[in-house]
Amino acid sequence: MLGRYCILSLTDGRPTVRTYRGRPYATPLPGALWRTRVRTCHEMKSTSRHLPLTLAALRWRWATSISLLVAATLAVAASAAGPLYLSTADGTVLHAHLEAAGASATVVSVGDYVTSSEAAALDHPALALGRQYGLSRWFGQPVWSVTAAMDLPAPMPLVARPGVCSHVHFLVGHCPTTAGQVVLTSRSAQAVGLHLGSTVVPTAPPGVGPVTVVGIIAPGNLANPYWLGQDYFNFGGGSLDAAFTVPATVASLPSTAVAQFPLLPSRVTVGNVAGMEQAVSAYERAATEQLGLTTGSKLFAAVSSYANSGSLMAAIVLVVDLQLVLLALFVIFGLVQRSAEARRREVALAKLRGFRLTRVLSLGLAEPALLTLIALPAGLIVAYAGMAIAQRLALPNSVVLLQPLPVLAGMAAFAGGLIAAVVGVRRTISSRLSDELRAVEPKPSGAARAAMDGAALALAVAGIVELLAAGVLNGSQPNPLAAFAPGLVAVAVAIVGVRGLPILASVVVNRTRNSRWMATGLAVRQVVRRPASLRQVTLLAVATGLACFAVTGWAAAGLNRTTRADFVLGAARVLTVQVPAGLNLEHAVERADPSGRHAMAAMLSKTPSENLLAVQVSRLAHVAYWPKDLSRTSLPTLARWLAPHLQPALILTGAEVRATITETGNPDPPPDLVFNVVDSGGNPGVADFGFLKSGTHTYTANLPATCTGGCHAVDLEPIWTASSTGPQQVQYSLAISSLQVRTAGTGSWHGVTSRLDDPAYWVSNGPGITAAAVGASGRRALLLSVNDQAGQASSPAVIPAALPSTLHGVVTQANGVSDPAAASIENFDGSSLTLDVPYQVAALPQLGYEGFLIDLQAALRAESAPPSQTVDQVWLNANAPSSVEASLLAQGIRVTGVQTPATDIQSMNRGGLALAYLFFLFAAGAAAVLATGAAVFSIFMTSRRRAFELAVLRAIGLSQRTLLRSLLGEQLLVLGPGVVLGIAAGLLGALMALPSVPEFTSLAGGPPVELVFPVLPIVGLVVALVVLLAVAAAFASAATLRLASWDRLRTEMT
Amino acid sequence: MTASAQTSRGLDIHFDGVVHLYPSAEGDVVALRGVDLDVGAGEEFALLGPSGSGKSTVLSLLAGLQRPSAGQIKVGPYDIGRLTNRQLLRLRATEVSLVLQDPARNLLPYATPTQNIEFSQRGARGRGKTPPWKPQALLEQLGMGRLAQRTVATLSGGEQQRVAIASGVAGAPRLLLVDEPTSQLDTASRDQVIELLHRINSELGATVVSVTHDPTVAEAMPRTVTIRDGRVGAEGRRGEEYAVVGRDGSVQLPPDVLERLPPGTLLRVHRHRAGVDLRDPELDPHGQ
Repeated sequence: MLGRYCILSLTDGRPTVRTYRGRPYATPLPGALWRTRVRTCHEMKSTSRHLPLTLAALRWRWATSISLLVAATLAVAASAAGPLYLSTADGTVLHAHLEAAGASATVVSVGDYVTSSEAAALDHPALALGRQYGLSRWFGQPVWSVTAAMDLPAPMPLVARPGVCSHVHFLVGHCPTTAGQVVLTSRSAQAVGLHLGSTVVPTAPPGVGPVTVVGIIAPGNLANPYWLGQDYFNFGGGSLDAAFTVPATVASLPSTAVAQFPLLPSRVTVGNVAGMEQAVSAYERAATEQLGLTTGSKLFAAVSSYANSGSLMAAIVLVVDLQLVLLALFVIFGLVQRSAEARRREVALAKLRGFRLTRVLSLGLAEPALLTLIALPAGLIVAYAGMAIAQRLALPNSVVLLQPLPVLAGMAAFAGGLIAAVVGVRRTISSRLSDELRAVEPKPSGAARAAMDGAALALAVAGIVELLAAGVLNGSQPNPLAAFAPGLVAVAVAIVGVRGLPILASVVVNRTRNSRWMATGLAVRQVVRRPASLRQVTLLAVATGLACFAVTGWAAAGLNRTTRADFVLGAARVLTVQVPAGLNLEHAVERADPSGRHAMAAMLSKTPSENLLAVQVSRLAHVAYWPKDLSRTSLPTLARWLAPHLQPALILTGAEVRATITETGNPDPPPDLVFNVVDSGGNPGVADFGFLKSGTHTYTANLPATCTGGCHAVDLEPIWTASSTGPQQVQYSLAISSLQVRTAGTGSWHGVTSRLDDPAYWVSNGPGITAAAVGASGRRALLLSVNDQAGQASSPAVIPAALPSTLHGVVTQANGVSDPAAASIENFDGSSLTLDVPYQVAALPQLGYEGFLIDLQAALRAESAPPSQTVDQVWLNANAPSSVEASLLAQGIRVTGVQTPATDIQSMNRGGLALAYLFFLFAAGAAAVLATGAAVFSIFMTSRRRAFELAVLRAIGLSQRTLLRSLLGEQLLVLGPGVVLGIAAGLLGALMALPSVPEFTSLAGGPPVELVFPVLPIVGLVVALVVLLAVAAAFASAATLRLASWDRLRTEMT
Repeated sequence: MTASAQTSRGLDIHFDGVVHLYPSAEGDVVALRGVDLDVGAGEEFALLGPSGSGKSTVLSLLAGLQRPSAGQIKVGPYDIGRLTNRQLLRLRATEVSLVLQDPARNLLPYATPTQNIEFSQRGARGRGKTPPWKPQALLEQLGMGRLAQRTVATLSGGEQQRVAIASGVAGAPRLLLVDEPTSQLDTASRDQVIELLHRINSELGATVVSVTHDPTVAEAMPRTVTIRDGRVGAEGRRGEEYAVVGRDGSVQLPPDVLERLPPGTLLRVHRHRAGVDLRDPELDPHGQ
């Protein structure tokens, strides 16, 4: 092949190039040109002869060759891994964000206020436009719906939506098939008093024909992607669920028609997401301009969120990847340089034989260059394979693509290797041949080494200053010098350590002089005699430092995520429940968990203006996750403050209430006495005793139906209305001596703990009424003295002291309360509530950085109306027995959702932050392997030289065991300090750098986190490293000792 | 085509008052103190002398590994002290070859003798000089054909030394310098090496200079030069040893004579037709 490529011949005694690079040349070539060609041809032939020799040399030094190849492969792989990981994990982050956003946040909607006939027309152009802009590449078939408003008689959305019947559960009846047929949810039907088969004429809009209920359905699950975020089941707070029908029903009604394009996340990739954004933008613009449609989508927000997360991930990954690349370059530089130095004698021989310098250089470079050349594709393949495994294990929804950046990173490592080889060979070339031939080891200049150490230390100091001043990230971009700081710290620590080790070793040298510790003495002397071997310590320290830093970062970040997930949710399990009317959730939880240690009732309200969480404070410490650093005040103190110091409520449980009342003063007209009550659901009600008569009588009043579950009395109000002709003011008194309830009309009466004999329990709401105790009918009674007058804003009434005017609460620091003693907030029922919030916390479970925490009992007692937009929850701790949940279900409580921190953790684990820290773990592994590989390589590099010395020692009578121990000791003297210094440097780097990395600086809604060194992972790393290095040292020592044969004394071949 | 047919005549050597110093932290060490030496082209001779006497320095100066501190060294037409590094490299590639003491330092242990000879020839080829023999032919001619395809590491010490010498002449040098060619060798191997050196000198025509401690080698050489304390102390020709008068008129006496005439001894110079006698006045008070 080479002959065809380059053929030389003699023409008239003059060398002539017949072909050159495969092309024929006219012969003879003129002047100096043929000399160039001849030389090039010689060099090409020389190269062809080089290769077998190079391969033979590689075979001869098989152990070092394999070590270098493996280490170089790992270095290239490590360099390529960062960019490759980023590009792969980006896909996972993208899909995690799209999935987290949900169908409702990724759907593209176009619609308008139209009649149904127009809606039918809308379908076609919207679809055509979608096709035109290629939406089908990312979106499924559009779902369109037409919504009209109808009063049946309460206002209720009437929705025509294709396929709705296959996404709801029919309790009874069937799907509407013709105009005028509707299906209702069971609760809406109950609320408006309709049932299956009912036919009703809507009161609005006017002119609508009768509709017939043909089906009763259970509310649909809005989490189902079919609904695309349309909230058709918004029952409560005066709203009813939607009714569903066929398009013909709404044909004549003013409607809102909406076409929704559901996103198909599986079709979105990192590569086409930008194209999707452009297509959607263009489509929306065209839909608005050409069809006059309104458009809307939160898709851009979701994509933007992904982009932010992705860039954050990239920035954090770079923090450790830059150091990994630095380490890889450091390793490959060291290995290749030593490999080049290993060819010193061959290079010297070439110089002795008068080779040209270029040939000497190529001879020295041949082996390391060939190995690094092989390592380049091998490293890329290893990186790709590793990433493919990582993708299967931890990076779902991603694709491993070997894009240019990872290849460039791998080539950078390769280039580093070549530069190292050139530097190594250059040193040999520039050294004196006479020294080479005398096998004098080149001694690095002390001044040069000191200068390099000084430069590295200065760089480390600069990095630390930058790190402490500005942090690792500058915005969302890495701060390069600060990002390198942990690695630089490791270098600095290693430099100081390596400078100190010979001093320490020389002390041991003195101690082992004339001692029996032969092996130790030999090992220490070996280290002192060849301090150059200590450069291995630097490499090992940097690698170990990076591994330790990375493990610390990964483990601490994982710990933080767990803490955050636990805290954000609040408990090990949180059940979202629906409480049947008449059932008190607090009481239900107390019955399910009498111990008070496993379950806690909670009510949550999150509105744009205010967040409020009410819990059973007495159970808070047992059930909720409450990190220590959440506030300066301990949880017991907060719980004591929050615990309601309320008088017992006056609870009326039953169907009827009766009271014995003595009226004096003969008011005219007679007053009407009522108990205003609120049931457990917050619904107000009245128990009306009717008009009172003069003298002592027993009066009976019906309690609201929901009071069978208990109602608490809000006030006792005598209502007097002046007649138009009579006096406008009246004075009278009422002595109430007995209060009893019963469950049914025929049941027996039971007394109520009413505190009628305690006037302090009853607080007047104004000047027109006072409470006192009085003896009546042999028993003490409550005496109300009333001075009523017409035209007052409110009737005089007495209020049970159970309802304080100001509740105790806790507020988050970010909430900003101007008057902590009287913070005004909105209670669950919308009424105003005054809170005393002297204590602040950083964040609150379920609420995040803004919100109030109060006692549930107090909050509910302060209600005078049903709560709106609230969520009832039961929090369970990790030890809660299953009987608690079973008991809740048995009491009629319906569990509509279950949340655990694992769900949140799983979600977070697929986010950019978590994936960034997952790379830390990879970096730690890569660093540990690089460290071990470099150590093994270094040991092999010295094994032949050491073998000769050991053979001499064996010859003078030292036992094999002593020599093995000496060798091991020597390795450990080099490897041990490397690991120790590296661990110290890694922890120091983590302490300085990690607090400024986002996982530690911001956790939306989470508790404040601080760097806690994860002991177990660090110990695990140390153990793994020690075992790896010990095995490597033992293996290498044994191998070296085997080489120390008698034959080695006779002739030393290299 | 035989090897001898291709070989040009060897190079002559002239040392004229050569001084060489090795710088050191404790002060310069004088290795050579004015060496005068003339070697004819195609001559074969041995450099003898005790350790540290400077004979290896003479060899490294001849090979152009170092330049003399003072004096002049001429190897054929080349003034070693005036050549640039590049020219010295060319000299080693084409004209002068040095075989170092340890055969391992002259050979690639993982290569065969053939490959080693090819390797050694690259220097000459790179300078446009085509060696007149192929590696196999050279090995055959030097009686090592059977070793051609074995890996060097598997050869015995003597075989390695012979292959090292063969590698030394691979580029057809006109001056072959050999440092301790027979150290660590048994008698049979030693004789083979000596025979090889003779053949190189006679058949290839190269000037051969051997540094040796081995008296057998010295005896086998037609001429020997003894270096003592950085000077040419004696010279032997065909088994007879002669003292050499230096440029400054000094004469290095053999060690056994020095025992009888320790430094500081006053001698009477007695001239006669055949030369000069140095006599101790105490032993010969009348000068008879």
